[in-house]
Amino acid sequence: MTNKPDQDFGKRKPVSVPASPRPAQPPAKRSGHVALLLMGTFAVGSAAYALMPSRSCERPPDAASPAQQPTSTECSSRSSSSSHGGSGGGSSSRSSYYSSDSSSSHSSSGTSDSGSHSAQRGGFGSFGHSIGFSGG
Amino acid sequence: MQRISCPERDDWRATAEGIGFTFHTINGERYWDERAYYAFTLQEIERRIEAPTAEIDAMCLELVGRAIKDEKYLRRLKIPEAFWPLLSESWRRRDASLYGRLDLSYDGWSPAKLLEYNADTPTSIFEAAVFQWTWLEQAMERSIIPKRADQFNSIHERLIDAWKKHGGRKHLHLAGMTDNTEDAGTLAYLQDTASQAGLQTTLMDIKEVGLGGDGRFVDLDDRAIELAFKLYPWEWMFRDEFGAKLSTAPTRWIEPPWKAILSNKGILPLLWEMFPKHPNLLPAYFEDDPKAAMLGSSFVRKPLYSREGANVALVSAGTTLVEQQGPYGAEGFIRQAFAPLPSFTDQYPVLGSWLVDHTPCGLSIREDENPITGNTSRFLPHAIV
Repeated sequence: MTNKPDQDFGKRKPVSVPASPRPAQPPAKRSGHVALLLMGTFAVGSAAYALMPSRSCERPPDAASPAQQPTSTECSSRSSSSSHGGSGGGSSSRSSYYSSDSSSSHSSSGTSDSGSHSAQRGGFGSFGHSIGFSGG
Repeated sequence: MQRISCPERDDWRATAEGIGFTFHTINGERYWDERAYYAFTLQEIERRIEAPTAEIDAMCLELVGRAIKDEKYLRRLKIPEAFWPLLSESWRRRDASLYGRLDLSYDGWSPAKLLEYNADTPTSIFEAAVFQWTWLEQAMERSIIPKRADQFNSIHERLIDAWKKHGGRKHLHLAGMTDNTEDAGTLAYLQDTASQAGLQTTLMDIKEVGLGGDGRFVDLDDRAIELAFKLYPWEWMFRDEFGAKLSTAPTRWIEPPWKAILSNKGILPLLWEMFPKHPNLLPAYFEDDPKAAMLGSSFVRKPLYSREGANVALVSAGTTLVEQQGPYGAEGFIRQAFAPLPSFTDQYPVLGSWLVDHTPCGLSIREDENPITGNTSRFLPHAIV
């Protein structure tokens, strides 16, 4: 996300408010067209994810406008599956996220190298899975 | 701002499921609710929602700039010192933010007030960007709402534009807790918008992220993760076992590490300190600050880290009226002046004002019978009429 640093990054900008009175033809505030490439062709959620772990999707370079051809993305499902490390970290009680001084008090989820060639797995997700949701 | 009862589309469930919105009903209760909508004037949207949203975002960026330069801020936010360099380097590199959502209290008359900023892992963007838009189109066609209605909602295009601007030609990995239906839906939608921007994408569970021998984070094919969107809070990543590797791994993250500052409820007292009496802010103080007594015996108590209203308590005249249970609070609390949410036919709406690439571009509304918005609050559409 650092290809073209924005010169105005982090700077407060003047807030523009459209002049009153309201113009005769107010500008539309909404999308012109909302099309989905991937969603809708399969159910979203845990069931769908279980069917299709780790979908790699690439839009062909010559694909038409997504608004016109919403199903042209090529996706390849990979068959590798991971047996995740344990998820014993975290607590459902009011536990502190951190030790007092550093990141040294990581949950002891136990990583594993299954599901791949040499990489360790399961090093992220332990705390979240002990709570059950991440968004807000 | 008005709450207007209206007939629901008789086929909305099939429409929702047809585009992948399977979590419209949660545990047998409506999450999507179109038996009413909120109506705004264009002027209300532009002057009362859009402009204040841009203003608050700008103030937040100013706060991050200060926090990066002065460790006192990071200490007050209880961000562990081991991760300060990660945050500051991501800020100095100008790592871009994709999106965020301000939660606002607005009664139609007074200035909108910032309740909190979902800066790191906001959800409900799919229903805000897509299904709410579908409702508008069909509700106009079926004369449920006026034919020339509009909606504050260009989220979809702006997401695609933001991916084009910031994604470059990198392969994008999206990771989160895919066994959570709502999180999986959010990930799938953002993957969709990234694909439409021309990015190659891979969706995976956060637990599938691997750590290679060379210290790089990798996917299930051991491909290095160069650019990752994570729907998983920074404070949890810091705590997880791989957290210690974040500073040395070359992965660029969306949202970037500096967003860990803004997803902390401690920004509410810091913003009030920096911009006292700003019309879109509520007085707020850290609980251990003697000035917190200035709020008197009625206030809202929030943990520094909290999601979906968990462990937020409404205290009135010294008595806790409502408290959402949850696992948070060990790092401390802030107190925010109690600004009663407006009641529309005994429903309490909270406005979610969306930013994509720092541009205010959409509105979502959650309402509840409870004055604290939680994860069971219903999503209602809105229209500009």
